[in-house]
Amino acid sequence: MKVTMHRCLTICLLAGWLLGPALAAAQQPAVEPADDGWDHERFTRQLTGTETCLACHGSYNPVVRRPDNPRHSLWVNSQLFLQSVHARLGCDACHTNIDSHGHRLAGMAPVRDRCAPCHAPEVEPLDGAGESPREQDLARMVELAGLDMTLTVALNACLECHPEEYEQYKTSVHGVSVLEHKDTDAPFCMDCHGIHYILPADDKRSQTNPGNVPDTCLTCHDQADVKARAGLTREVGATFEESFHGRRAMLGGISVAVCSNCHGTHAIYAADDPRSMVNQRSLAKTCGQCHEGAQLNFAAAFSHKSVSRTEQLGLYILKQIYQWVIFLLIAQFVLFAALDILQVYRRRRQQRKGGSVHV
Amino acid sequence: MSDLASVDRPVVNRRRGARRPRSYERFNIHHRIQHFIMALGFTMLVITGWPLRFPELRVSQLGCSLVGGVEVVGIIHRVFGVSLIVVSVYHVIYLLVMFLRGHRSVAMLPSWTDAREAWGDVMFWLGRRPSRPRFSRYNWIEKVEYYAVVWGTAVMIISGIVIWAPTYFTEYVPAWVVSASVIVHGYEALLAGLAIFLWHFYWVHLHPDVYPMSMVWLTGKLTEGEMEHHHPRELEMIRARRTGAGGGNPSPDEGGEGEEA
Repeated sequence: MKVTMHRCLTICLLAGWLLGPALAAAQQPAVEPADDGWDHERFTRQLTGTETCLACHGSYNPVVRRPDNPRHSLWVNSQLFLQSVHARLGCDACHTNIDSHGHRLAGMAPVRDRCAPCHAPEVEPLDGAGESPREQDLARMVELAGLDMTLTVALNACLECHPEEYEQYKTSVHGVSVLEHKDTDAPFCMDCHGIHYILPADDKRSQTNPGNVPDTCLTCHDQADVKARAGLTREVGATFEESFHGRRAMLGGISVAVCSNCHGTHAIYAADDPRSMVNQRSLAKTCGQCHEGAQLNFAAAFSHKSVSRTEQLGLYILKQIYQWVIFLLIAQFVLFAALDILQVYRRRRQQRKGGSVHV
Repeated sequence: MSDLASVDRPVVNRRRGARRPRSYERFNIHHRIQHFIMALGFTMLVITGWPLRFPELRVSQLGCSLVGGVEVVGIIHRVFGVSLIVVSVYHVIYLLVMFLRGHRSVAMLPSWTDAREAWGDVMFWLGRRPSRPRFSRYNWIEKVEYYAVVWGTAVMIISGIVIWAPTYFTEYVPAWVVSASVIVHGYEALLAGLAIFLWHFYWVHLHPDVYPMSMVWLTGKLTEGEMEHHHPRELEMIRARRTGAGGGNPSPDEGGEGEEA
């Protein structure tokens, strides 16, 4: 009888051990094709392709040797990738140069075996490079950032589906810095949006979520060396945090203004450029997005000028006066109260000793 | 000189079963209502203003999520801001009406006596005098507190309204007025909060002679014992007036030389 009980228990435990993970796996969010006009057959094929890629790239950590890093990781967080906006596109939508079997890179001389592209990445120009202006841009990006071909083709893939954003970016300070001034500090698509884990902007983990936009921009705009090279002088990070916008953002406000609300996203221009949202001509309109009836004078109250001796002397003096007044008054409060309580207790002790307890 | 160890503390003494002593009115119903709305509004304004003053603190962020976001905190702040404005206007109108009706008291006006009393207090704190000065209805500390509240409330109301409607004000005043208002509102709040919770609370709650508190802010009345200890000169004057008036049966609620007397 006891043996049977024991066996029952063992079977139950074993069943639990086997079924538990199975149930947990069944509860994993399945990527269901939505009825949104997509070519589901193509989608399924691509997803299968993605899963094939992730079988290696999402499980163990494949590394390749590169000039800058002998153990360059090719690992992809598959869980996060499958939540990204591009998951449905599949790997080969961006990595257009991957031969699904041979791992060959398009635009390179044909490789002898499947290992060569990773282990001996001799990068050659793209097919047709130098023909269209966009490909010239890409070639410049490659040259500038020392990008490998995979990344470059991925950039090309961004432009393929997002031509409007690219047109805006091309004329913006960031685009002009990259494409014309060959400035290696300036950002490409992926510097702001991320690479594999481009999540919808309303996802709190997205780099372009309002809660994360300041961090994304300040990655470069709070770097002293980057700012010095770009000729930027304002302490944009600190002054944003000081402002009501920054304070509300820190407190998790819903309706907060972050960098992009005032400066734009792809079409960011220098403040003295008439196209800029923060140009004198547009400031009233920019502030007016949230502050109904805002005038140019209103905008002047919310600059990135710090309250310092050099930038806003009057306000700096006001702040200093307040800090000193508060310090001195509080010091006096504490001193008087401490002296008072000492005297009260001293007198009580004296009275107790003297025994003159009498009113 | 009254014995400090046997100062009348009504909250404590009533608990010990003491007989209800003769009382003297210090604050009438108007005073008490004004003080109560002021105290409630002030406390709520400090609490709801705190997150924007120190947004980097975890407690500020948690506090905001607790009530449903910084937007809700902002609404509560404005509601109590309005209540503070209303009570300030009430106070000014009250003073005007009292003045026009001929109740012209000078009890709250600063005088040379206050300077002498302040000096006397400093001497007492330094151990050079055996006791504090014999105060009248309002001592120098209470007067300083009153004028600090008048000044602080005016500053907070003005700067608060400016940063409530910056788009409106920047049509008429330079932009730095708004920036300055933000700074002033934050620092004046810090000053006011510290003044109330350190200075005011020391004298009306923590001080050994009043701990835990006097009932005067709720009932408006001081006991004879409290009068003897805290306002001996006022009590003297009341007694002198009584005997001068023929020593008749005095009303237990007879006020001092206050505004409403």
